[in-house]
Amino acid sequence: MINQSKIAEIFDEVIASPENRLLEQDIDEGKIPIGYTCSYVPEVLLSVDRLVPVRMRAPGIAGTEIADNYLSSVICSYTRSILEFALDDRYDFLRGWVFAASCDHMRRLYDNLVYIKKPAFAHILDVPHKINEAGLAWYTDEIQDLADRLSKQFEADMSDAAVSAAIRERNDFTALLSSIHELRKIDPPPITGTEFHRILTAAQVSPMHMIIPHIRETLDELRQREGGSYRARLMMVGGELDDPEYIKVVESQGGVVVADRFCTGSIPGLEPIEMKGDPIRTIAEHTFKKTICPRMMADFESRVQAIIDVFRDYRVDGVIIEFVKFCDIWGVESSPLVSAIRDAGIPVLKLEREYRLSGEGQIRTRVQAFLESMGK
Amino acid sequence: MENKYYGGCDVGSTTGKAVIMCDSGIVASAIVPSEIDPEETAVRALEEACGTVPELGGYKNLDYLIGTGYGRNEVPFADENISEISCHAIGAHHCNSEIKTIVDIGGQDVKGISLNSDGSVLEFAMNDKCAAGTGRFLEAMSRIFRMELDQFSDLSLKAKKVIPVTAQCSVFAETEVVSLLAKRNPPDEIAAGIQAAVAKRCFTLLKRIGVRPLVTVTGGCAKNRGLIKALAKILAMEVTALTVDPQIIGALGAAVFAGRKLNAPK
Amino acid sequence: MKIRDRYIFAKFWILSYLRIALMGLRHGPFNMVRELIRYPWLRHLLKVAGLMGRLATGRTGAFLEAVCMIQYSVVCSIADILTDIFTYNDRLIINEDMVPPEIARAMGLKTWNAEVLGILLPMLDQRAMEEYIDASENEGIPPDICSLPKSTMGLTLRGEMPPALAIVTSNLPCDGGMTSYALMERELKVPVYRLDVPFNFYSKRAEEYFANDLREMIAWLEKNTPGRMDWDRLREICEERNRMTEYELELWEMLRTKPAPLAAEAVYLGHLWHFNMSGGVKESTGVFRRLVELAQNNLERNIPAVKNEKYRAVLWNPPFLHFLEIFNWIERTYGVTLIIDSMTYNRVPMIDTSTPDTMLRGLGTMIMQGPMARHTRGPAENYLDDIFRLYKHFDLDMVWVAGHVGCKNTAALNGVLREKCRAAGIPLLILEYDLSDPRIVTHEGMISQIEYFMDNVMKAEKFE
Repeated sequence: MINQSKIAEIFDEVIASPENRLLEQDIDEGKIPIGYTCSYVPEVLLSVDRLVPVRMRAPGIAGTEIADNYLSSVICSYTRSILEFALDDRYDFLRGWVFAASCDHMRRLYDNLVYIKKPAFAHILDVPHKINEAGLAWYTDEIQDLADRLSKQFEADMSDAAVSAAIRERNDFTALLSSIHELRKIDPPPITGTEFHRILTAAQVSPMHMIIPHIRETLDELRQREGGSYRARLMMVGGELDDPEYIKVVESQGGVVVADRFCTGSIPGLEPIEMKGDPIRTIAEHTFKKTICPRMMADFESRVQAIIDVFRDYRVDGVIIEFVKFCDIWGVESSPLVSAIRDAGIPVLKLEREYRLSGEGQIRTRVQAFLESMGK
Repeated sequence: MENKYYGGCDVGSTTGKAVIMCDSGIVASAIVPSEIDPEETAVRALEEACGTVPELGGYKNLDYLIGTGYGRNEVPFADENISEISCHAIGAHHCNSEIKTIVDIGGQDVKGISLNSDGSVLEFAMNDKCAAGTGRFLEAMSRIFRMELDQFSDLSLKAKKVIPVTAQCSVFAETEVVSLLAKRNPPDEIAAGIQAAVAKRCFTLLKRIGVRPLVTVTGGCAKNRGLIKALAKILAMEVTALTVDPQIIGALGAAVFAGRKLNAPK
Repeated sequence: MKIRDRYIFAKFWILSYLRIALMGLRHGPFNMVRELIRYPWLRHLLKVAGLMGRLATGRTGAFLEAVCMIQYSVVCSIADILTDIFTYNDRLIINEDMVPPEIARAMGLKTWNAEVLGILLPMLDQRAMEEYIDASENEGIPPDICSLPKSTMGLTLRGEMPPALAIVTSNLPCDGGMTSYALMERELKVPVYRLDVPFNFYSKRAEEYFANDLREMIAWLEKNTPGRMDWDRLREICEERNRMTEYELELWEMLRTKPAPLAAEAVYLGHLWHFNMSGGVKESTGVFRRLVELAQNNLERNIPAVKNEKYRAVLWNPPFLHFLEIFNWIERTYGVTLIIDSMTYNRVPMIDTSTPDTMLRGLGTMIMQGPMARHTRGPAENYLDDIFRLYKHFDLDMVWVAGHVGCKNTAALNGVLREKCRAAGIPLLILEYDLSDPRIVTHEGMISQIEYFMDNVMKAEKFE
């Protein structure tokens, strides 16, 4: 096992509940927290001027009884959990909500949340299902529209200069996170997947300028650290996964997660934003590039290729496809995806799971057997 | 001690199983009901098995012990733990090296396992958290008939016709069976319907990993002859019976692994 | 049954089998046997008599004639489609059910609606789709996915889809359906064009975006198939379709009368089939012309479709495919009359045929705002507002929701709908079932939900 020197406790602290100490402090200083639920929402736009993006999570959710009453119990438990937290007033500190019409479940979350909570500011982005020139033009208009609304509602400076400044800042931030992520290519990696995701998750729910010093400190520490032995290098693929404890259960069987190709992960989430003239269009292009979701209708082959590429680059031994139960797009996609990946000679395990970490025994058994079947 | 003894302990959700082996083969085995604490279950199963091997003088003297099953992480005195999937595979392979496909019907889950020719796992699939199709499901069903599982199995074998029962969900199935009984449908035909429904779930699971002969069933439910018959029918294939009690295959596999560890060149 | 009713029933019964026999004869008995081996689902089509019998029970006069005539028209239409797939492998494409076939037909192509069997076969035999649903699940498709795409994927996996040159599909109606084409593409190995309907489609911007998408689709089809766009042909098809729509609007106007002159299948089955499968075909227009006549007859003589119309209902979401006779049963048991449903009600039905551009915009709007497409995309208002609009327009007494367990999109609005109906004092029945799999909720289970609602909420008395 990897030698467990202590990764800053601050990361654990900030991901333990929606309203964390760093956010509170920032809000006291006049910042405006805006919640968002999907990677198709460009967080960089929510960090322009005084805005602070907060990725919506429901850490420690116990049950979703009241949300189920609205959303029914047959839809994705991520959306149900977010609604439950909202109904419990755990997200009342937010000044606005930005959604993406990315899937049926997210759209209905927006509908129900707006109906029940009637927030002062709620916006849903209309994300096309095709990545082509027309889709890009459409999405650029959508982002411009959001920028205009944010500027009107919060008097945020959405000038080209302000947006460009936010892009530069975000790039510095992702570059810092990338330098930690790059360490995972080392064999043996000095950082576990669990540790990495504590940092990454914290980065998605904290004000950038306040979490940066902690990340820098961790990076220095990690550079000194040597990795320990492990059974196999694993890659995780899927949608929303914002609970590092889940990765911990996967790693409990001796594998180490070195690459993550999921919405809240680093591939390709940490790619830098390439500035090309109009900053709003730049953001639109970047958002399409940094999010890989089966909702994009025509890109199955490129999604398979993306997995194969990461498999090679990170010297991965096996791929775990995980998705939240009742997710239609991952549920259906996973079937041809598993066979395509297997055809490429890559060991693959499919894990359907609840948003809330549960059924750990089953996960452990499956992962352990997966490692054993790879001969690890 | 002349002989080297090694063992496997399968801590399941309903029962704990232990197998003690030496190089000449199985020397003892035991099945005990599960305690709340998995460690306690393991101790009881091992003590009972080791009790029949006086030479050994207790499970603590085993040269190598491997834990498996749902409580395998809670057996602190085991040298190692291996998932029950690999254990069932090697256990069944140990009994009959022609086995290529296994259905393991345990208390709380059902697994389909496909094997390489050396007994290692080629592919596997597990049911979801839902209890339908598991040992618990069958227990609940036999309770409706106020019977023990083996009586229930015998009842189902008597049926000349099969009344279809849905096993999509154990809660719904229970209501369905109660109302079928209330309408005075022949109990044996309903019982056969339940067996067919469980067999169908196993079949579905097996389809995911591909069915190749020989096929066998392991786990406690392998003793349910009505189910085996229904499964053979839906598979259109013979279900091979193992020479060893199918309920201890997981523990046997763990013991086989333990033996390999012990005999591996250092 | 009265003698005239017997005659009507027998007439359409005989005509239906004659039509099937004629298809067999034309294609040649030897060839038909080959097709039966190639497409095992063909055997279910012979069960049409059973459906006719189930739907005819208790119905009389013009209503009976309308119901029988529609079934016969569906048989004729299927026979034509089957002849196409048997004969024209050189110009056959697969279209998803939300992409109407008008454009491809104008291009001289033949179309096979991929979802049609998943919709049609459960009507003929309630258990018909089970083997296909299981085939999908065996391939690793989660059980919670809608059983319609599961049926379609199952048919594909078992190699029972006709050979096509290309596929045109869309992001409608739901994520499960949309994503199923990743599997279809991999299995069938043919090029796929995917139309993208925006989330907010009530705008000029969306109309433009989607009309462009249709233009690209036409160019793509010209590249990938022998089909060539004939705008005059498209105009004829659209004009014919408009005529059918005019008749339908006339019919709806008459349905506002209490008691209604026609109901249930006479309203929804005709629309479900002809507007989705054969818009712009003369025979389909003929069906609606005849429906108007039959409704008119009843109106003039003051004859209600349902003898004891006591409650007027709207059905939201697709009808109970494997249990269509449920409407028949509620008419006879409680006097509940199905007046209109979400799959039928179309708000922008007319296509402006003045130029190719207006036609594409018209067809585009029709697709984007069509039944089901309009409700499952866009914000909740799209789904909810129509319910209350229809409730008022048709002077209804209750709202029924076909609560298909695989439809997460609509299940996630049940809570809001319950509260809104409660506030408006509208009785609401959400009937849980599965669209094409009666194993999930049995017919008995469905009946008991209705009885529970009628007895306790409506305090209705059963007719003897």
